[in-house]
Amino acid sequence: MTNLLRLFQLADSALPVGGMAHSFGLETTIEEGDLGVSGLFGFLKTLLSEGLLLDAVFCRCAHTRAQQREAVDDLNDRLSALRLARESREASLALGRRFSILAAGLEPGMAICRKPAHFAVAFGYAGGALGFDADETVAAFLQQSVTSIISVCQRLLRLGQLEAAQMNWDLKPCIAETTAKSSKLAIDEVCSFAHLPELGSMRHPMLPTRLFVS
Amino acid sequence: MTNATLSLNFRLSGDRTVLHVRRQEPPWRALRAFPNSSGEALIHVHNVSGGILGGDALRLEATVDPRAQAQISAVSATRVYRSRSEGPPGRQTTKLHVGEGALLEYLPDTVIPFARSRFEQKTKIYLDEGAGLIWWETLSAGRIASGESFAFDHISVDTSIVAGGRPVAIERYSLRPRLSELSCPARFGRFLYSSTMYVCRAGQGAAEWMSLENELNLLGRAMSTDGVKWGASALVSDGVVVRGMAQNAQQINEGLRAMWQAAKQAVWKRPALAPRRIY
Repeated sequence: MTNLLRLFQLADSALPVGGMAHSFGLETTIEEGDLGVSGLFGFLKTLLSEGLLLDAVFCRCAHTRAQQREAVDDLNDRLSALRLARESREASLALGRRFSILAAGLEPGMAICRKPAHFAVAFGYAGGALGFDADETVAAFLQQSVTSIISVCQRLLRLGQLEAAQMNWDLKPCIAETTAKSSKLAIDEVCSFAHLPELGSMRHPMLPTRLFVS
Repeated sequence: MTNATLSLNFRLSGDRTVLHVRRQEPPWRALRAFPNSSGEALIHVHNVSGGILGGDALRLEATVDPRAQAQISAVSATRVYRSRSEGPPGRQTTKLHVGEGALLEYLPDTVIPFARSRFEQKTKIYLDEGAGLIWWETLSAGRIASGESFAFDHISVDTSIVAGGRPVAIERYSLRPRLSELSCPARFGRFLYSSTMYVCRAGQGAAEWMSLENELNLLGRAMSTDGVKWGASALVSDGVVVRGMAQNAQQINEGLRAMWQAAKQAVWKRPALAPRRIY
């Protein structure tokens, strides 16, 4: 039970790692009229089968590495190469760095990776090091990611709290499906196509007014 | 169904780059290299069968020796024909190796996947220290003028660029429009063309790539309209990626050319010369 409660805390989107400051390019996509409330559920569902599936596979692999006390540098190098848009890549590394510091502080002596790590890798590694179940770790990471994205959309779109909560609730089967898929894919197999969100992230530095860092 | 290899080597002869064709099997055809005024040896690669058929396994290998300068273009779009439902997909594997201080510009035309086509493409690019690369690829939704849009069965793309032994860009995707909608804003949105261009020079510092990102983003902003959008981003190291998405081919080709010219002038301090037949 204690471990489950710890996982809840680490997966809370209010965890002070800076998640609320990043839209990962969504701000541009919304600002330029390519995404509205009506398309949001489909967008999130697709994201779970593309970019978030990619993160899920790396999260799971880092979980395994932690249990085997192996390094994750190659995972971070590969994920950095896969994340073509600089702002999104740097956001993922910034969240990973803060998460690693926080988690190491919460659990002294725990072997959480210290080098700059992507958020998915840091989360998976912490889950493995703390002895959480792999599926639960990946699902918690995805749940946290989806909640953060919905929160971004609440600030950028006319999306009410009840509608947001319903959307998050209705996405649970998709989160479970992505979690299951991630167990069948290796890091050199997983595919992700997100050209329009990536383009949004690349164009984000040029937005005249920005609410988000990325 | 064809299993064929085209293997090319670009090397210096005095201060000129010359082409040595190591292997050339039909339907591949490399049209002779001739020097352009920017210093590269330009060749056009031609698939004489007119496109890629289901079951084709085509391999293209090119090495650019140290300090050689090469530009590879194509004579037409890469048409991917309808595949037999039971047979294997069409496959193309490209392996490029750019030596120290060399430059390779790899500038093929648009990939046009016909209705019911299946295509797998793998590209691996290795850059030695100081090696330069300008590489682009444009994927269209299909034969749009004929009313085909996302009517293909499957396309998978696996592209990686390694500089000094470290991966700097990996793009791996699998598109199956019958199973998942591609016009969703998480994929193509309202666009029908997507271009990606990589501009790399192994060992060049991060500050210079940030500066180029900014320059290309300013150009991209000026070229963007409701029907076409451009953006650029510094890679994790050694380069910049440019992405363009558009609703028609002309917008994407004009923008790609402008981005190429700006990037080449900024990094190599010389103009980008387009193969004449394209423009």
